[in-house]
Amino acid sequence: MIHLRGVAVVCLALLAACSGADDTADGPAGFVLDPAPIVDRVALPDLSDGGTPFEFRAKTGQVLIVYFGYTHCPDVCPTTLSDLRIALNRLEESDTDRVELAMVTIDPDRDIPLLTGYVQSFVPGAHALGTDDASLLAAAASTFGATYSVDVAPDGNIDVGHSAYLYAVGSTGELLVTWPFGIPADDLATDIELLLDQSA
Amino acid sequence: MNLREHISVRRTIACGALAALSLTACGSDEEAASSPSTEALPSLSIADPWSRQPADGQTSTAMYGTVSNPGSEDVTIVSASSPVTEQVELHETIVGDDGAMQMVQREEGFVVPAGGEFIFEPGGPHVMLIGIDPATYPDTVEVTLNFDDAEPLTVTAEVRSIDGEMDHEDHDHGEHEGMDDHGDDEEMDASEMDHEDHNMTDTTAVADMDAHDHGDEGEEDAHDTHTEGSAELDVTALHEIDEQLAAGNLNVEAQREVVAGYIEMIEASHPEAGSSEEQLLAILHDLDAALAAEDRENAAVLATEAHDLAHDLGHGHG
Repeated sequence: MIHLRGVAVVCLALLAACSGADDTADGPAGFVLDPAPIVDRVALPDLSDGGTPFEFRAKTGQVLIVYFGYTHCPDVCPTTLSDLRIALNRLEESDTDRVELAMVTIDPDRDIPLLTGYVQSFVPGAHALGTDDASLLAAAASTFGATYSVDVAPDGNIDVGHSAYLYAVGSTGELLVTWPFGIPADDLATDIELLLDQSA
Repeated sequence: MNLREHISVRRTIACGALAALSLTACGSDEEAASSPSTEALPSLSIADPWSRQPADGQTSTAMYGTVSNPGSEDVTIVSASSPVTEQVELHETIVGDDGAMQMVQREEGFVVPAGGEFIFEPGGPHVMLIGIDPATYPDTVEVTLNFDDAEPLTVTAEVRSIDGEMDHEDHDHGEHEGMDDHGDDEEMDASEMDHEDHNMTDTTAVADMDAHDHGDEGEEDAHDTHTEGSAELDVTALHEIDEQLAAGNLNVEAQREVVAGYIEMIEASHPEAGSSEEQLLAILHDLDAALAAEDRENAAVLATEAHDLAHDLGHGHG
């Protein structure tokens, strides 16, 4: 088991990598991959819209933010989604209206009935994406580089692990920025404003 | 994510620990440290205990805060419990080589080093409350931390809303007019990693009427300045209550206990009729009544009055 200190080191390493991408003060605080991966080739059912296939692509002039998580997550997921909510609250209202959130559940067995209410508690109107087709979920996650595991332990507990990044996607389905866990809401807000400016 | 500029050990002093238990005056650190009564089990304290309001459908959440150990021996947090759910566990979030984050239960607990702190924080160690109902999750949640070799610590954790804002109602209704300026809370990012020392959120624990370093709010600590008055009061606990009430945190039982301690001390000094000490006593009685009536607004005003008057009488912080 990794001790707390190990966690801190990893987190700091992530942030160091992330701030490394920000040598130019104009760039985003999150990671930028070049060339940008295309993430809209797999669609998932939108549980908040009657199961309509949702493609990972922002509307023109907007930014789509994507998160892979699960509702039984007590710490990391609510922290990240709450930070996103705080960041969105800091934007001009006209900008907030140009940001959409889609959360993909990596724990569909438990989450499919719950996810819409859950994610919309954080961001009203957010898309709740989920499928019981494991290969479809895996395909969607792999386009982002998201990883996850859901295991039933011998004691019956369900152990879930997942990469905890937030992703920003543009209107051509390109992955614009990846934010690591723990990115401050202020940085998130600044990055989103930057992406909105670029998409306008 | 500021992990963490303030891992630095807080200044905790032996007399503060004593005050937590007895609310007795403490003349100097040395005097208290040499007292035989310091052999009692150490009283740990927690600063900034909080939990996040669970979202719809979210049946487990976490509690965070900074646990301080003023004692000279390491103490291990071995378990936790709460009235809101039977299933409370100590967990930490670990990061795998692939960047995946996973929670792991800490059967062995967490060590709070002697004279140091242990921090429960988002993305790290946390007290996990499992099987809760988001619809009935309270505004403040009580959690008891159990230690291997210290008195249990019952914490009243403030529940912060999903958008990180807090005390909307209090501020909207202007309840704290004339109180200290706690303006920064409007922008508080409950979930950000930088975990600042928000004193206004110090819903400090029952046993924690003592040793916090108030220096981080720009206020001079007044150690060893008990120069006047018939009874030397450690104003710190009163200061804590003032802060808590200003922040809208009513914790009737703990706060009344502290007020009762002050009343007892002042009464024991037999203040003269018409003296400022007697006036302080009257305010404390009113404060006690306001607390008993759960009249937070009046209690907040009275706590400030009592705190100010205690300082005017020359009492300082322990």
